Amino acid sequence: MASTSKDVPIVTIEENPPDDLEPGACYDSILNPTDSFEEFASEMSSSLQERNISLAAINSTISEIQSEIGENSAQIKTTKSSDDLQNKDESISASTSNSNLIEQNGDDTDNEKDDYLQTPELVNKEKHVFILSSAGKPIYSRYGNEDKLAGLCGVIQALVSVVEEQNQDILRSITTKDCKAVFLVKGPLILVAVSKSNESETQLVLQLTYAFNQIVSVLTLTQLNRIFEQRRNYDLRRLLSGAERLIDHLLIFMEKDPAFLLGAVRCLPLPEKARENITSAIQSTCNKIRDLVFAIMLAGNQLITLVRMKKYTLHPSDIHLLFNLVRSSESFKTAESWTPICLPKFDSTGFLHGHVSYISEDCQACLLLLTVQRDAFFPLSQAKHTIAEKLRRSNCLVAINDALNRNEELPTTNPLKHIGIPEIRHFMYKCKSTAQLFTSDPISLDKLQDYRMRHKVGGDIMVKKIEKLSDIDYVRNYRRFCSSIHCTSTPAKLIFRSNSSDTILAWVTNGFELYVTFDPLMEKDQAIKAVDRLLKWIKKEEQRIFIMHAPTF
Amino acid sequence: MATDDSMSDDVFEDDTLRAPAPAAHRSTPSPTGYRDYYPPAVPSSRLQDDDDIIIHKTILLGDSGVGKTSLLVQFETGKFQAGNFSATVGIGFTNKVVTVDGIKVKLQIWDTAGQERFRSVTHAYYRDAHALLLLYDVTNKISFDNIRAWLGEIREYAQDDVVIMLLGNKSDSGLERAVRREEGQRLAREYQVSFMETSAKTGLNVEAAFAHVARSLVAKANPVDPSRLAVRAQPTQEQRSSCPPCS
Amino acid sequence: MINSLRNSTFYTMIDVKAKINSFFIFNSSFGPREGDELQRILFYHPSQTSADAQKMQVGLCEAVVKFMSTFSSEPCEALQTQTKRYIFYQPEKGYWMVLVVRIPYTTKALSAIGESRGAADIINPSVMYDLLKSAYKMFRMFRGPFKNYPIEEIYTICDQFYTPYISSRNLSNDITDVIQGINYLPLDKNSFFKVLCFIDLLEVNYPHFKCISFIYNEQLIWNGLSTPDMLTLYQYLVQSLLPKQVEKEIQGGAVAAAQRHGRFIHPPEGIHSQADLQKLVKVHLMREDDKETKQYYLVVYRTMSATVCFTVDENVDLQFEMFRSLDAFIGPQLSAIASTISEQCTLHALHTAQLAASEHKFVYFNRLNLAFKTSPTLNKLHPSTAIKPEVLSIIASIHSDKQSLGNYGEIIIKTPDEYWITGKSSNEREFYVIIQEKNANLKEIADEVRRICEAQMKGIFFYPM
Repeated sequence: MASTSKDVPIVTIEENPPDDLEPGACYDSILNPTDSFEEFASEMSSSLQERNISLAAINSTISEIQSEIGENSAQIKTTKSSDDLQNKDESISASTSNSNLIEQNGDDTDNEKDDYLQTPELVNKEKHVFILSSAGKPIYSRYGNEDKLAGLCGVIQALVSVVEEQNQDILRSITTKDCKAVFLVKGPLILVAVSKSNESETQLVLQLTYAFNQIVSVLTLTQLNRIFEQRRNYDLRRLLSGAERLIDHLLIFMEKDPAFLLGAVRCLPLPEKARENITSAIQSTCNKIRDLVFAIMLAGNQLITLVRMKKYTLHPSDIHLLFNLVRSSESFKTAESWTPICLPKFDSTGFLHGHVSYISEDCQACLLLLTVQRDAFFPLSQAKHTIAEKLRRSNCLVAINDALNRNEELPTTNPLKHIGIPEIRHFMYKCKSTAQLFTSDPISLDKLQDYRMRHKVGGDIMVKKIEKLSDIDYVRNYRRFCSSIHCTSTPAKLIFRSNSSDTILAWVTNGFELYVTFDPLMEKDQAIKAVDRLLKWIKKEEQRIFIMHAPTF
Repeated sequence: MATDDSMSDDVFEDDTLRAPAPAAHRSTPSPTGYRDYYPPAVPSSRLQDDDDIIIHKTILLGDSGVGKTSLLVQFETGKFQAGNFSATVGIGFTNKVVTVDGIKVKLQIWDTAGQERFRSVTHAYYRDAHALLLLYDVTNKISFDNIRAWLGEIREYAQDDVVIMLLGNKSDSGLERAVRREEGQRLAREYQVSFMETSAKTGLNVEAAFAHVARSLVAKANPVDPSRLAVRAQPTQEQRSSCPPCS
Repeated sequence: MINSLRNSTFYTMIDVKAKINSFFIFNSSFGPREGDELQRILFYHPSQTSADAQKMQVGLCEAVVKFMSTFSSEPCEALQTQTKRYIFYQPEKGYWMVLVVRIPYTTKALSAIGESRGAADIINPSVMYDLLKSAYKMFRMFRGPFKNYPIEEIYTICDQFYTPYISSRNLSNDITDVIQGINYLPLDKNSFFKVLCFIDLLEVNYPHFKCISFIYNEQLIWNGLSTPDMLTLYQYLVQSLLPKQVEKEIQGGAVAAAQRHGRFIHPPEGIHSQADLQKLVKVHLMREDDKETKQYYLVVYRTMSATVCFTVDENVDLQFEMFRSLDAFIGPQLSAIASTISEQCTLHALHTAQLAASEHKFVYFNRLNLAFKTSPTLNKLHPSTAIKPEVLSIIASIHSDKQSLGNYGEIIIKTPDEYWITGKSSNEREFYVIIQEKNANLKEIADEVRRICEAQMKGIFFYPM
């Protein structure tokens, strides 16, 4: 490896790598290649009227599939309507979640609000997220008790509507030296992030969009809109109870995992053969189940494989929501589950039905079988057992466990050591065409776990002296570079920044995005050589670290 | 003091129930009504073992947070996962074989999410259910008050002869208790359903509750002696006297 | 030549000004009750804005300030909506100055037909903030702090000051707006010594007069003020007073040119009698050796291209005779010095002109003495060679984010249209180089920057190289 790179002229950093395709690229992708910032751009560029129109006109992919597989329209209708919440349901738990919410009144509760915001529960947090209805009713707060935040929500609602109604404009953000408040109005909801982190407005809007999509994922957009059309003053917490946890987790997840920053999906590194076996086990078991749209296997927030119905691909943000669902639902571990799931990018108007289960007690890979058929539990359960059996017989479970446990012998476990480039401290690489991501040091689940345990009371701003950066700290440092690279008005193709604590290179080409942290005050030619070697290694290992095929049923 | 609850006075006497052998029930139609679905030609090994046993579909119901999943986990593993509050998403499915009076009964247990938004999903499963375990939390009065609404729903969606059992969970809670045992008993009597107080934490009455359901199912499938069954259908009345003064 | 200068700045100026939606100053405590909202507005531009619209804008800003105060102890700095950006500056407690600019945005409808507006129209927030800050500091220099004025007077005072200020303020959206610094004139030791001797002699002979700055053309040679005030005075001279004088001199034509003798230009009409002394303006300044801001009379004297500023203590009994004698003393001496400097400048200009053709653009800034230097091609005379707005915006963001580079650091950014922007920071000094080069790599750019740095910035050490 070392000798070849001497012979070959050093790839100048301005050219694409020598091969036809950049590392990780393939001609057919399971995922929609995306730029997480494009979404922001379109979000931010919509005028008031456009915003209202865009919510109204949505096609249903699910009905499209249903009609393709020969459901007659009458059945679709019944299916759809029975997914809806029936009004008579309201009686049953009206009292359960019956909030002792006093009719919100911004002015009267002004003082209480100020006091409550200064309590230890809420003060000094690095990032707040508030979600409220456009009528100003609290729906979600990352910290504290929403009921006590009615006053604050009233103020937010007033700010948003003053800008809209009096100025015919849209409120975007407010900043102080150390704090940013970012506003996003989506459908009947207002989402606000108040952050003291180094995330850009773009990145915060993206996170709010995810939070909104998380809500859509449990309710569907159609239902969300209808609820507020019928009752503007509805207390959405009734329907979201149990889903707050999903939003809690998602917010932490987004702060830690660069997959969100880059709009890409992380794959579990596996030997090519093992991944092939897993994929074909799923294909051969499921190819007769005609309602099945996606079969997804994942482990530790990493994708193992995705088999899909022809014509349909998944958006990384939908996969992230699935990761989040699996990650935050302990109950999937205790039983096979059957649950409605709305994937907002795939079809925000309806539910897919998901069979969710862990492959086996000795392998923490989770299989999701997503169908348009609302009562396919048993055939899917059967399919799952067959798949699990096949995987066990072909030793795939061992391969998965090896990767999950980060077996030292695998080259992907500690790539920097394996390549032998000690001057690189950390890197992350995104293949744009397949929307997949690889980092030198995967965010360890334990760190997320620890954080989750204490986050309701934690999340405080801490002035800590960092001795050794963790993978999460590296990702934090990349945020700024990421937003410069993706800045809509003045984008950059390459950033090389060197100071006394480290040297960071951010580089985007047509095919990939690369972020590398080197030792401080790094020489440029040395950096170029190291990056060159890194790219060659990624190319060499691409079959292992990326999913290079786009299998269908 | 709250340890009074852990006394086994709620446990049924084994000899009071002795159901006859189950009848072959192989021809049960697809329980979920999935179109074109036939049992697999080569069933997986797991199903194969229990092939000769009748399957009874049992659903756990009740408001969110009353401890349905904890009860099930305790029943399956004998363990309680402390502080691990994680709401069920949709419906969870497990099989469990219980032996009552030497008869193997396979319970196909559906653990449902208590949240309102999953209601429409869970309704679809009521229809085929043979037994319903309806839970409330003795420390949460609202969950108890909602039982009437739950029973109303059951009447609407479930089969008429479904076995219903009311469970007051978290009976280990001592001072935090908000619903007295007598209130539970009274409600159960009113609706003619069985009743027990359980604790997924200590394991109190967990086995017993499922065993009782299994017995009732067996008895229902073989109505040899309707008079005996009638007595056993309301076990709570027999235990009233031994209720500890916990509330 | 001169006309083209005026035209080009005129066009760019209009360009930016058209984007300024409004500028206002408010203090919520001035009209605490409902119905008194208008009293809270000390100044509003444009003044023809309806009272309701004014109240609405200020009301929104008040709400925004209050909202953020629940989360941060720092004052509110900016509000961004779809079409506007509001920049806030609170120079004194309760007094808020707000500058509102329109920002371009591309709607979906527009982008569908391939129309999009880029950074060309964007004014960097840090530039807007600096504008507000200098608007306040200028007020403070000439009028003192807001809080000195009772409520009855403040509206008139603000109007008297800011209405002309706004109409005279040029905004070219070039590098001098992004990095507000002072252009120093480098002189050989001999010439510089002459300037110092002149100032010393003058202060010995006229103890009431203290020289606070010596400027040749628009370049500073000597300063006697504290650093923050130095920039304000410099900006006043270079952006406001001197351009007007130059215009007068041009109109005066040959007459003025022949008038080798100098004259007082502040007060602008000159000092010809005891009565003219009444027109002397008082300023609030802190001299190098002052512990606090004090009030002084400001006197400015000019000969040819040399301008000297003096302060006179406000308690001094001003006599016309003093000024006449001063005029007689300075006039000939300053003329001689101006000639010497002029010769030096000609030499220097020849030298840099040779360099200029082959060089890339660079900018140097020293945070300690606010020294600011650009490559000769960065000249308003040639708008075509001005820095692209996108590049300017990138430099602005490097400049406003001191933390990123730390005490010693370097950043190289490549844009999609093959511009390479290098920023270096070393001990409070900043150096930027802009290179447009299609087939370069990081190493080549770094080498080129090092070469420029060595050639242009002799003796200033940038690490890492």
